Amino acid sequence: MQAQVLNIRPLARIRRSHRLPVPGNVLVRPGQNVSSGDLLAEVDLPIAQVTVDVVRALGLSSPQEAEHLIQHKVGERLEEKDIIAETGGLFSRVIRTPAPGLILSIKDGSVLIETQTRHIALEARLPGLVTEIQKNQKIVIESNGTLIQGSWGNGKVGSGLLVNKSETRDSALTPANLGLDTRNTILVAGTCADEATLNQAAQAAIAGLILGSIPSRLIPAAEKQPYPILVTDGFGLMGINELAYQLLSTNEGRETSISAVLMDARKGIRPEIVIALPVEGQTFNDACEYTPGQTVRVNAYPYAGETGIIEKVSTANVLLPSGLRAPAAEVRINQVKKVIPLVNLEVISIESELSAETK
Amino acid sequence: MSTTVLDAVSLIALDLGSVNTRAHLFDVADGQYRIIASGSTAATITAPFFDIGESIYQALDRLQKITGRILMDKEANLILPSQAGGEGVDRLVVTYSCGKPLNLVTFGLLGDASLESVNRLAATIFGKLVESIGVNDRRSKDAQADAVLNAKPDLILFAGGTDNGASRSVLKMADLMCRVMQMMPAEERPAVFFTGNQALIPAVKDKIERFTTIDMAPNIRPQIDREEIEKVGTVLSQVVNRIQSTHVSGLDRIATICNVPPEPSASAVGKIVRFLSVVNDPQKGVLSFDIGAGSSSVISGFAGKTSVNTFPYGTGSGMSEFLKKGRIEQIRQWLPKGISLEDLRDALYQKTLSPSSIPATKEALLIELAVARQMLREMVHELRLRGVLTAGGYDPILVSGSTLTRAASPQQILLTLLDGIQPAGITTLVLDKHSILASLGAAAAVQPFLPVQVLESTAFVNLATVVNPVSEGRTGAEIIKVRLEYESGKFAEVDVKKGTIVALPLKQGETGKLYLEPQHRTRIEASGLVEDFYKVNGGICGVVIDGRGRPLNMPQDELKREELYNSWVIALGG
Repeated sequence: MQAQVLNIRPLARIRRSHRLPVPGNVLVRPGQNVSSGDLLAEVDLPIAQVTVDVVRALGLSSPQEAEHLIQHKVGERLEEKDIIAETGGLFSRVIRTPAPGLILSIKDGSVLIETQTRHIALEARLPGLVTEIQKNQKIVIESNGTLIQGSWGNGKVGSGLLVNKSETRDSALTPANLGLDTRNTILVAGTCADEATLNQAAQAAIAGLILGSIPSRLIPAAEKQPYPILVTDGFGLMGINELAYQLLSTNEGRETSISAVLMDARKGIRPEIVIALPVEGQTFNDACEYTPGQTVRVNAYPYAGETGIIEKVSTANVLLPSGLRAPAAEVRINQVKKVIPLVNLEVISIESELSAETK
Repeated sequence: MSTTVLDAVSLIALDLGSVNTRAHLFDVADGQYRIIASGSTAATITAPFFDIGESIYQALDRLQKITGRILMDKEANLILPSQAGGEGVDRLVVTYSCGKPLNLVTFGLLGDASLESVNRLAATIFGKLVESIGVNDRRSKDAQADAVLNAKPDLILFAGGTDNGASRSVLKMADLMCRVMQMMPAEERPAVFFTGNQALIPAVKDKIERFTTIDMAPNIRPQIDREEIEKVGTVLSQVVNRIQSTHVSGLDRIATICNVPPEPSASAVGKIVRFLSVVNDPQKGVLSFDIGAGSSSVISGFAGKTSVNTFPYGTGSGMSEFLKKGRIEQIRQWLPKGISLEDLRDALYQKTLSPSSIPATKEALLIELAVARQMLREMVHELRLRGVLTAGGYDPILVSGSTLTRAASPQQILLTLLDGIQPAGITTLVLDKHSILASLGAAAAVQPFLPVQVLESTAFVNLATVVNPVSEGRTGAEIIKVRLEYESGKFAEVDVKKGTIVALPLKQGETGKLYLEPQHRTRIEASGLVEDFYKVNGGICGVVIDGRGRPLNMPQDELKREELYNSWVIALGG
């Protein structure tokens, strides 16, 4: 049975695609080194427009007459109060643009003006080398380093020196952990139990926050913070899984990038921590099956975040403690054997495997 | 009617869900079409495959192993048609619910005519109606255009004007759409589906096809008092297929070998509901519920007319959509055991991170069933608001989706359904335990006898016949006397009190005569009339009299709630 894979890799070759919604202005070139958060490309998407009916405004008799009087062409930019058309003569009638913008079309005596746009900025989710640019829309960055995938993020990207403020993997971040020494750093903590601490972290100008878990009631508060918050294991107060915690602890002091994007299974995107290392890593394959001996993490209530070793796998239906029947594994978690459905397990790939590109 | 060997066709139906891919094999056995076997595997529409092809292969491979039949050749292609040696199958149909929820925008004229109809049409598609614009919309044209742009529609449904009726307003709306299209990059422009005044087709097409694809369908409202949603829905399915093919990698590939185009699951179930509404009790409708992982649906059928209603929430990837409007407190009211609001919220949000996970513990299962109850309540409420519930009640009520059909015990399933749906009158709850309803709907286009014969087989399980008396009496008062006479001549009698639920045994396959004597201020059927006796069919939980009242109110106190829940499970034989 195809396994779900969670990448927690001390060293890997990482390849990530970045994509604008439409082709735009690319600001980097192949072979260029970028840092996490660097602007890769941008585009303006139109979101508001206004139509000026010149025929009606000037009391003309036909669209053809209007188009004869219109003083601009498609693609021209209009400034505040620019004249669009004028009848001329002694008692000239004038129609001006209601707002500055770009003329999109002139048709049937009407002028369509784009007055508002939405700026889309594509930032690098990890530091590395730009290896590929396609159609001014897709940019691929490759890097070598530690990769730790997470479960949830507040949608922001950031980087800084990694600082571990967690004495144990389930210690909570408190205001006492925040100070001048945490400015512009990526902080690690097991969990955070209150909104006030998140707010204070913003005032302390941290560059980002890595938590093992967060109570779901804090989702709105986390989403409005200006810095990225990445949660490795899920919702509650269970802390960081053991393997991720070890890796983060050993990498303390290193430049760390966090891409706290929301998980999108259809696009294969999930929140990630990348710690660039000056060593060549190997590419990896996310496809495998559940087998005894694998280290796994449970991703569902009530054991979410717990890690253990698979001792036995049954692809035939097994009776679960819930009374349901499903393929399951016997997993030893903290010396206790538990029967967990296979669909509730993610295989933690901590070894580099045969090369294959990831999306 | 039995099916001869000469005219029998073997058929594989693939059902592509967001969590599971199922392959069902149907063939003739003992002169009747039967479901022979089913193979199920995890869907591969997400990482690492991002294509349904792999899960289809795995599901078919499983089917091969279960049946011992060779279905695929050495290149892993499905053998179509079947060969002299028995390899392969004759027909292939596909249903799917794994697509992306579409952002829908509707345009129509009057709120109680074409706009209302096109909004009902939108409800049949897996997606969200994000914006709706009618001729009486008070917003400026710029504001309307902005609203459509912000909606980021995948599809615009455009209705308006009876045939040879209103034209100017319809054409103005087409102009507005063109303006909006001009604002969008070409690759982001939504398709347009026109189902309005047929006389305007050339003019509308001429305007819109300069900017985007436009599909034409019969008028959804050809006359002011006539609505043709089902006819239009069939055409719409093909448009939806085309759009979903861009989101479901592999769908267009499998479509090339299907006997009929792939069909959205809800629409396929609608065919079965329509059929049953014609052949069953003409005074009653047929209802079908399906709570899936990414989406849910309720389909109501009465006298050959159906109303397909999809909802963009479910117990897997659809959970985050369901939680957007709060609802944690309402879900908690269904939990018999005390669980803090915080823990419940965390458990539910955790599900949004692992949509394919299943309940591993008893408590996790109770939480999932509590969510299912609340979803059922809301779907019924929405149907009431849309005016599609019939006053005469429903029989049967069909139930699909592993959330509703896989609970640990039949009593758990029954209580979940009764608490959530809170049906009226007398009805039979039928479980689609193999999740084949949608497949039968799709198969109907290829072999009409197949769904009819499979529906009559043991593929579907009668959970219970349920009697729902409504009483104004006080709790604890006797509200109805019940006598069930068995085929053997024996009988069982019980006096049911208000606030209780009682089960009388009657096995699946057996029938009985049910005599009901409502007491003071109690009635059963919506009409208030009660026949001498009702012929009832047996089920796993027998005949159940649900005297708990409507609407069902759960105690706020956790201990009382747990006590009550346990008493009901025991009463039902759990």
